[in-house]
Amino acid sequence: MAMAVAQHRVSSSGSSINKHFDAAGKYVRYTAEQVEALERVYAECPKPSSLRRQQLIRECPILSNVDPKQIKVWFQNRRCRDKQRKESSRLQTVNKKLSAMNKLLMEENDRLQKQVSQLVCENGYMKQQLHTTLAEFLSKATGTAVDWVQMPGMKPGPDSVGIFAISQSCRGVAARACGLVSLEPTKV
Amino acid sequence: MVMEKLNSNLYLQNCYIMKENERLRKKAQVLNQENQALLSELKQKLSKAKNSANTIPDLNLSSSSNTNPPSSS
Repeated sequence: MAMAVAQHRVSSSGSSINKHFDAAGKYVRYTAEQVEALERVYAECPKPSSLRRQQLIRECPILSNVDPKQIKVWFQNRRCRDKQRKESSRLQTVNKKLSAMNKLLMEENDRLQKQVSQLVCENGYMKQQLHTTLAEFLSKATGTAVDWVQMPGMKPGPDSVGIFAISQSCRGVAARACGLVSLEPTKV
Repeated sequence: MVMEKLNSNLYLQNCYIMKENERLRKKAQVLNQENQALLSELKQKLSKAKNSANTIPDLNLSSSSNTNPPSSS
């Protein structure tokens, strides 16, 4: 049982390491004063030597009733708790960084998907424009009547083509051109 | 241990999204080049159409410019 207690490493709020076996063999807590004294030494020296521990017991009457072995165990557990806390803190920091990175990447992903969609739309629109412009050119040159493929909302004829030519140097060509000829890009 | 698993998953997800973003970037680049090409092709065709409209008489109309006006004597 004593061994189990000695090996017991739990990082709760200190209550587990702050228990020990008293002279009567009962499993009791260290008093607040005892903990305070122990913590003070720990702060200046987390791994006190056997000699230092003996000195501690001599200097602190409140620790005189504690088995020196228990003092040794207390310091062991205390160091272990520190390690666990550091590790937990490290993991939390890593988590924060990974989460932040994740958020940025998702936003970028969203932006890129929209960009690609926009480009595909413009691409399709221009290909269509090329076909109709060509047909128009042919009709003027050869005098052959060409059947206009009526697109919803689109005005056939030179006007729509001319308007497109004007806006070609601007960004978002297809979208603006679409707007001018009353054509919704998403429906193209 | 829960935190470690969480971090592992986040890390893997980040790697995946990074690859995906790279793929999208390349795709956008390709599409953009294609669009630029289409645009210049369109410009060409438009200027040709404009020129032919200005210089070549519309053959659909009667070619009155080529015939001699009826003389009145």
